[in-house]
Amino acid sequence: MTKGVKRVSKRKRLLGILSLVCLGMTIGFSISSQAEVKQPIKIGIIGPMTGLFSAMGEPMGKGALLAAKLINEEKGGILGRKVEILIRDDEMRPAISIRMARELNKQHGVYLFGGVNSSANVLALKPVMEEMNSLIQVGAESSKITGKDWSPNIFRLSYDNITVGYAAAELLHQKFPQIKKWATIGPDYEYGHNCVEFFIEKLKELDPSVEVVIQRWPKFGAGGGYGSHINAIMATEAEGLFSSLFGGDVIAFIREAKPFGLFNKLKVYGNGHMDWDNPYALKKDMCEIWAHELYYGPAYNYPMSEKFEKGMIKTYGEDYFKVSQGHAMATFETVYAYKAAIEKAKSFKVEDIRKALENLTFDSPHGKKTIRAGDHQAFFDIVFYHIVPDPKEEVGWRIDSWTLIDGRKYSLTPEERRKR
Amino acid sequence: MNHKKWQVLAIYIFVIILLSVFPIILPSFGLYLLNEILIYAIFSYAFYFLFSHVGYLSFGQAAYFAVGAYSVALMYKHVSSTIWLPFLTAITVTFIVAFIIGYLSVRVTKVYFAFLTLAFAQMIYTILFLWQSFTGGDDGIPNVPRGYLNIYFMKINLESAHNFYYFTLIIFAILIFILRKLITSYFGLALRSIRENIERASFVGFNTHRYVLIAFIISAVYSGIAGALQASLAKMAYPELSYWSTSGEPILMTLIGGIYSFSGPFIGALLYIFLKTYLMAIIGNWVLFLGIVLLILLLFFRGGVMGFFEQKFGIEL
Amino acid sequence: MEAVLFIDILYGLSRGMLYFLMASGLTLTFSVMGIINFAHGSFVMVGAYITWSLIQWTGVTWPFIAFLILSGIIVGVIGVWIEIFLLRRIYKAEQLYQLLLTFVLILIIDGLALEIWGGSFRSMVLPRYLAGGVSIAGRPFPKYFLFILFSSICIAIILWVFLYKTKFGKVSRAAAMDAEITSTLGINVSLIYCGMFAMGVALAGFSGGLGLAMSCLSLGIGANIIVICFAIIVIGGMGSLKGSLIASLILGVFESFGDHYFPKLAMALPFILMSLILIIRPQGLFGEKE
Repeated sequence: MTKGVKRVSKRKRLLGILSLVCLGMTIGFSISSQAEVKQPIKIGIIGPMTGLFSAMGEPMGKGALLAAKLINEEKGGILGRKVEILIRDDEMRPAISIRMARELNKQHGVYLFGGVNSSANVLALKPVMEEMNSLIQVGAESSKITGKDWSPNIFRLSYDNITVGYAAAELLHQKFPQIKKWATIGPDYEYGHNCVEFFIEKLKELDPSVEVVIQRWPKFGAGGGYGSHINAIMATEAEGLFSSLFGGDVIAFIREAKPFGLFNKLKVYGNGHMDWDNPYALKKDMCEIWAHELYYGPAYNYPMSEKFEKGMIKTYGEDYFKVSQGHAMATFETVYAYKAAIEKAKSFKVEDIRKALENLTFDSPHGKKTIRAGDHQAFFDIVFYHIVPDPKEEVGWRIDSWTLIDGRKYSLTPEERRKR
Repeated sequence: MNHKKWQVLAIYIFVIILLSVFPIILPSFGLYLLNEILIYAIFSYAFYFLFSHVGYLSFGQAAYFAVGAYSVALMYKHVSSTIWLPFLTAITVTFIVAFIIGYLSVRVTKVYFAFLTLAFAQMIYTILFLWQSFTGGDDGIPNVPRGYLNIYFMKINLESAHNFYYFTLIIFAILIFILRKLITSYFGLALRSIRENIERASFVGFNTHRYVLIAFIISAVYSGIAGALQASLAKMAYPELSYWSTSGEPILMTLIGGIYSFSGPFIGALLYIFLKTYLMAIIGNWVLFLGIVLLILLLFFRGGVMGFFEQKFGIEL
Repeated sequence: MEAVLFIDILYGLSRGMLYFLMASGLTLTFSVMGIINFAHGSFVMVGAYITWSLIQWTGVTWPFIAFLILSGIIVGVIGVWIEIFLLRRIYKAEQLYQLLLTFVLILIIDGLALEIWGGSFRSMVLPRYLAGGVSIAGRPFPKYFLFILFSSICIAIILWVFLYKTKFGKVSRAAAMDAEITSTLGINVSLIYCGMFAMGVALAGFSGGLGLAMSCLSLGIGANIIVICFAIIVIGGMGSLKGSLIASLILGVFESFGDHYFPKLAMALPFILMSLILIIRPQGLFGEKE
């Protein structure tokens, strides 16, 4: 009988503990939501900070932090309020992007966002941003973002893959009009296909006599095993290759392709998008390539460009700057774009900022940038660089030339964009 | 025995009441998180049922999670906007897929079973990833709505966070109730005898394959319902929902909560999501930290959190 | 046309042998200790990163194979440490706990790798005699893949000799069959477990360096590797090294052909084969029926 009594009181104890835990959780949640400080204007940067794509995500955080630092130091903030950057990791996974966006919004009162360079994540965030009445500037390249799946809350300061594909086609055709037989290779998913598709579309428009002799679609993120693809391309008469591979895939591809002799056979090799850390990783194994990156210091000589470059080098070192300038610049200009919009609207309200962002012209390291109201896409000069292997250089290659192409040429009207 | 049963029932009712009351005091991010916790708790219960009561370790429950999510997403996209049809579709499709996969899988021994379920989940992942025209490929299906609930003359819009939360809570309560009944029934007893020794169970006269198959399908349908809810909550369905790492999450959650306790999956989901969300905000390299925490749990608190409680206070929850 | 085919096969064989090296460690630890090491892919990744670091520190002055062997040894030492302090505690527990422990190890190893090496992509510098191509069937073929083929065959032979001809190997196989009885013979089974686990992860580390030298090092490659390894050991037979070898070669060659002629199917192929085997012949091609 005593055992029974002891049991009951133990149970009561447990119940009591459970209640305490629940109470504690409630208090905890409530407190953390009160902790939202009213004063600074917060901008949330969401991107892959861990995992396979952390090389892209980390500079995003740093670029924004630099912009905030400069704005706070030089101007004392935006309209008197200091800028605060909150960084969250989404592992490149859409569901986590959503969770992070909500956390920043509800727990910290963030309604201005940036980063997010994966199209799947952007599309997932679209209803969330609309629901939270928040704005986001993205770096993802899918044409749907300012086209079919346009949203009043999403803005893009960098280019989409239609523009990149068209510009690449025009550039390569201009430099190599005699190349008629092309091969393509790209990761087997939407971005990979679209990038190549737009390239070919424009190329055929410029020169109907070109022929695509082979198209290969290795698995996205394979990071290796390109031998049979390379072998297949070698077996054709292709003289030019266009690839939409990026990240680890393009590094692995180049490394395998070189000893297969692919680059001796090809007269030209173009890549849709190549982050700067790729040639720095490849070093002496780098091949000759024409590629696009969001930012390349020497191509842009505007006051903001200098400010960005000097700031990056001073804060993070020259080596880090060289490798991460592309992704860091994306969030750097995001912060400045918000600043310009808030100052133009003289208000911190979302509706006013949104109106101000449409048709906004502001100073970016890309020069004066204008965001089109019809589809929230910005237009500027896009840079393609030409890398040539050079054993005399310590890093094994050098930038032989770079070309600026006016992206406005391929802007299409917002109506045409909605169809894609 | 009855006295004990009533005590346990009282605790469950208390917890449900607490969960119903939370939305009033919680800020809305907390509400979203709690909603997600309930969904992952259902997912974890699916795993728990199959593992703790039948003894079969499955690495492929993400497949049903994904199938449930995509069923709902596709139904909303192409067919209807009230909630019944998409959810019924999710349950039906998950049932069919689980029947096929289960039929093939329960014949093999437990170790191979784990791998086979993994293989099927990866195949489904590949199909979801590659079949772009139907499943949206790697982009998945965005803009999944939360639907309307038509009861008699009432039309409840589930887009509101509060409404959807209560919807999830009701489903959660029903599912847990059903599961509890299953576990304490003779069916549950039969399953546990299969867990102990499958040969002897078959000698006693059970058609063990059939019992395991039924349990497998129940587990899969629970996972499918969880996936359907998740697709509506996050408003998105994407292929990674079927990747093997997604299968791992309910396993880890149940482990943390307590593999042998009925409340283990719920407590585990609560702690895991809570921990992961707030860790991410504070620590950059949360992966390492989470790994260390889980390691300590595994080494020293094998019964999970509830196991620890049960040892100290001597009751079963 | 024949030349293309031949090169595809050769390439596939080199990939297959590489897969075998990666999977062999997993097969070993399973057959002797009954542990399925989920973190095996992470060990492969770590081996690759260690090789990269070694090359960075010393410059490409030593023979390349020395780097690979050294990183294998380092990973093996890490394995010893893990076996003694972590795995030993859970041998008595259910199999689930062993699996879960190795699952959690993935988080820890990946987390540590992020801390130590950071997220940037890395690429290994190969010595001159391994870079470039040789002419095979009138076309250039990368020397490095021949190196992979050659060194994995050597390691496979050494492994076979070790397991079937040396005392430690024979004793290990005995322990694999029946640990209890083996220990009654006065053999220190826990030493064998330790050694086998260390060997298993050392093989993983070696194969990581070997395999990733020609591609790109990044975090998170462990996830894809472990899935292929699982497919291999299931298809080949869970405890059978011979089975792993055949399965690896099949997958390697099919992958090479698949990429060429039926790419979409190629992605799902390992899992299709895995499922077929589990349904028709669960013990795998060469495994023993339970």
